[in-house]
Amino acid sequence: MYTGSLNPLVSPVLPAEPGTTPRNVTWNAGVVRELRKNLQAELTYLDSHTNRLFVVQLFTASSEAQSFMGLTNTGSSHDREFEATVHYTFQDRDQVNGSYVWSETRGDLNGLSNVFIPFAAPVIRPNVYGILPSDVPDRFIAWGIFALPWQLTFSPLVDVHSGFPYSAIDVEQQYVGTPNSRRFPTFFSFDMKVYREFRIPF
Amino acid sequence: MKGKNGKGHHIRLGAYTLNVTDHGNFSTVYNNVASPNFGKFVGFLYRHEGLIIDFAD
Repeated sequence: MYTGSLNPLVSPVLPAEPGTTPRNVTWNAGVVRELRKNLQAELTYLDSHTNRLFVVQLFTASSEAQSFMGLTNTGSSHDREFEATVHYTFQDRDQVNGSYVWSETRGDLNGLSNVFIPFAAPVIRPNVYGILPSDVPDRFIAWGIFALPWQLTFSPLVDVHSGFPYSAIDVEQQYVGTPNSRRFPTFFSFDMKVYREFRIPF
Repeated sequence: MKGKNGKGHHIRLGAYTLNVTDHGNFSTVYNNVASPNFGKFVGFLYRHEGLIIDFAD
């Protein structure tokens, strides 16, 4: 049932329909500066705040009264991200880039997209506002493009970031401790590709 | 038909490899505290290679 911002355990009349949609405010700011010839630095900050998100809430009665699972519009999420990037070009078409990103992603965990997944019997836990599954506090990426003989191009990429969060659960699939307070090991990937472009007559 | 630079299209041929060092980037964890494997990570993404065939402007 849709409960809006009301508690169905104490409110005899509930709203018939949402009447609202989620609202988002996103802004960013940045500066770019050429430190010296062919070396450029960029600092950016991004802030994104969403409220009136639809969230599934469990309203558990303390006695033998009926409990409810309701859809509310009181959810929110907040993303913050700071990025520092350096970009260096040399020998005409070669370039090296490095970027560090600090970010923080918080929000209600029982958003519709997280709860109603295509399982026959999804596990719906009490809603908690906290660390979202996509939270990656620290990330460093470096990549480059280098010209090789025979018109070949070599492009390596290194990606290192904090592991994604996960929650410990018990035998009844309920949270143990703070949700998403544990993390996977640090992610590290070194990728590369070599290619050559050929002109085609059409 | 010409590409964006007016000089015709290009085809890009090459090869790539992902996770060259075979680092264990796990995708799943035994997160049930009742499991004897609680805290063990699985779903290791091994190094893999592929070919590049791109049609580009």
